[in-house]
Amino acid sequence: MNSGSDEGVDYAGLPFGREISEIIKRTEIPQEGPIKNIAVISEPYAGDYLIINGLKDILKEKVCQQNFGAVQHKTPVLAEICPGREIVIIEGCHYLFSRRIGGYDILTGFLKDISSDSKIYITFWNYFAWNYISAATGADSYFQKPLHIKPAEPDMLMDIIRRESESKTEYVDDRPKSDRKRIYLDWHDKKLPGSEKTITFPVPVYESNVGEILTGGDAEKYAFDRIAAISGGNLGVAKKLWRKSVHDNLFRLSGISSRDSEINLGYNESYILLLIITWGALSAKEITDMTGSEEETVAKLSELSLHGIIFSEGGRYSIDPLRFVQARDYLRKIRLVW
Amino acid sequence: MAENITSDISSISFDKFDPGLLISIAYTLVIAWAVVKISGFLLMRLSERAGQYRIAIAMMVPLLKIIVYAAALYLVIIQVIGPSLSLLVAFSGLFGAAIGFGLKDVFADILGGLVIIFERPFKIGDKITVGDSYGEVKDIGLRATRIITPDDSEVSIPNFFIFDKSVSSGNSGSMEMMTVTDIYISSDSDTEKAMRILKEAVISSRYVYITSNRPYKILTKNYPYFTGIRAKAYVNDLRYEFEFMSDITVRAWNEMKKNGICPPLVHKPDISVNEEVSGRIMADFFNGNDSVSLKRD
Repeated sequence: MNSGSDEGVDYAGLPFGREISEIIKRTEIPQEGPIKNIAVISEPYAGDYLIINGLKDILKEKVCQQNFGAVQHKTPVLAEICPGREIVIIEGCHYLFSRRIGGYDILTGFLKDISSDSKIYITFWNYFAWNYISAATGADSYFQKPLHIKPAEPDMLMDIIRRESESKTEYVDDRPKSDRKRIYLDWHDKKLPGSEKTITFPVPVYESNVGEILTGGDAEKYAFDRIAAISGGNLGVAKKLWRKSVHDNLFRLSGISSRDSEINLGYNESYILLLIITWGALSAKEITDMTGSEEETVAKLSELSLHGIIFSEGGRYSIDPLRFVQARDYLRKIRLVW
Repeated sequence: MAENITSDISSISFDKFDPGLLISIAYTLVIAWAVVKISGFLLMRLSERAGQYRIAIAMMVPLLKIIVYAAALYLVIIQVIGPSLSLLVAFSGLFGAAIGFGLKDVFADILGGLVIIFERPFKIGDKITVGDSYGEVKDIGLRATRIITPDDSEVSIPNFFIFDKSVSSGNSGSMEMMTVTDIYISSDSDTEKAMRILKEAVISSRYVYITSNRPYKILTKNYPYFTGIRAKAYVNDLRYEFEFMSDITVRAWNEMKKNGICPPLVHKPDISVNEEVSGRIMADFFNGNDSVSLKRD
């Protein structure tokens, strides 16, 4: 059970086996000369915790974990992080910088420190933060070639959700006729002849099963195919979509829906949404530090909450997983993320 | 051939003009105009919602105009003179004479418009400079191109003028556009620190667009009495060009002041040689006063 490809069969039994296998390979044979540290890049809710748990299970006492869950105001002291361990996993490295003047010094210091340290650092970054900080400060030059977590395949989503759900779920095909016909794009990977490069290309597929009622495994497979397509293979989004359709251990196929009101925001609201999507979760104060205006921050956070795009938990604002794909595409459309 | 043309021309009888023909011509032209207006409006609405594809969709409008008006013209000609080749040749001759005598400029503009549409030196939505005018291209018409200046004035530039002059496009069809922000500091200020602050003001701006293909640059240049620092960076949407520059300038200066970096020192020569008026150069610049003298360090 792998994500994107069939490589990394060593840990094929684990979720994200390809990624885990690749990370372990890189820790064993440091690549690109003196650069030994590893950057793992993923979208919010992509399921980093499964990779981290997998690494901890495999590497056991060689490894330990440090987590940054809020914007840091001083450079971490390396001697205090996992003393005596060979490998350090650092989650939430994007919290080492802040998008304001003077907000990049801690990250720069940290990157220099870990580059000269003898330990191997496996650092986890938010995809949007990584793209931004690499282009803005050249943070990528401190790491081996970054490892991007690929979208999860439907089988993998099914396996994880099955494993994490407490009781057995029955799948019922109650789709209206209109939902039994669809045209969709199926993405295929193809290795270019004479090259190591793989290209991903879409193939349009027409599917019609008006007279057919799916049952058992077929209904479940259909459900996860749809969930994977709507969530873009994002584990957290898939889980939310799945939970939304389950009532009393019954999953109704008619409940899978991608239809939500279109996101259309003003520029400043969009910018605050960008900050939230870039860090995953931020407090109002952390956002104010970046926008420079408390009044604006409070007003825009309240508007975004009213639109149901973000939610607050323990004073920290995060994007609603069910709106994540839409929000990401919207920010991409207006070129706030790239 | 010449005899055929002469006989065909002589066969056109103007006293037999059918009022129905005039109505039909008017009908064709009105339909063409309506199609252009409605589809132009719809395409522009669509382009505004299309995000990064805004400029590509907007560029369909002038192409559509040409196609629809060319089709309408063809239909009118066919209705008036019929499909005879010799009449078409004769009509072309008359047409050429008309261009030569009175409509030369109009046709030069139309040809200029066609060249602009097909050669695409700029597109609808681009920010261009033509002569003394700078602004966002709102429409490429058959006769003139309309641009909206930063002061929200609409300038209509004849296409032949554009065709004849050098035109600079700030973004060449992309949404992002390079902007240049200059800041001047006193010669005794810490230039390195000022450059770092300006760099961070650029990369932390809410309007910035940075990729490996769209990098930013911070440059410095020493002048006799002050130091100039220049930030070259891309704004994510050219419509935010001035907001981007203001955002960088305001935040950079706030931080520079906190770090003891000062604007160039100037004095008013007619008041006192020793009087230093910090920031006066900017005020004089905005007031268009050229009689600014800078104090030597």
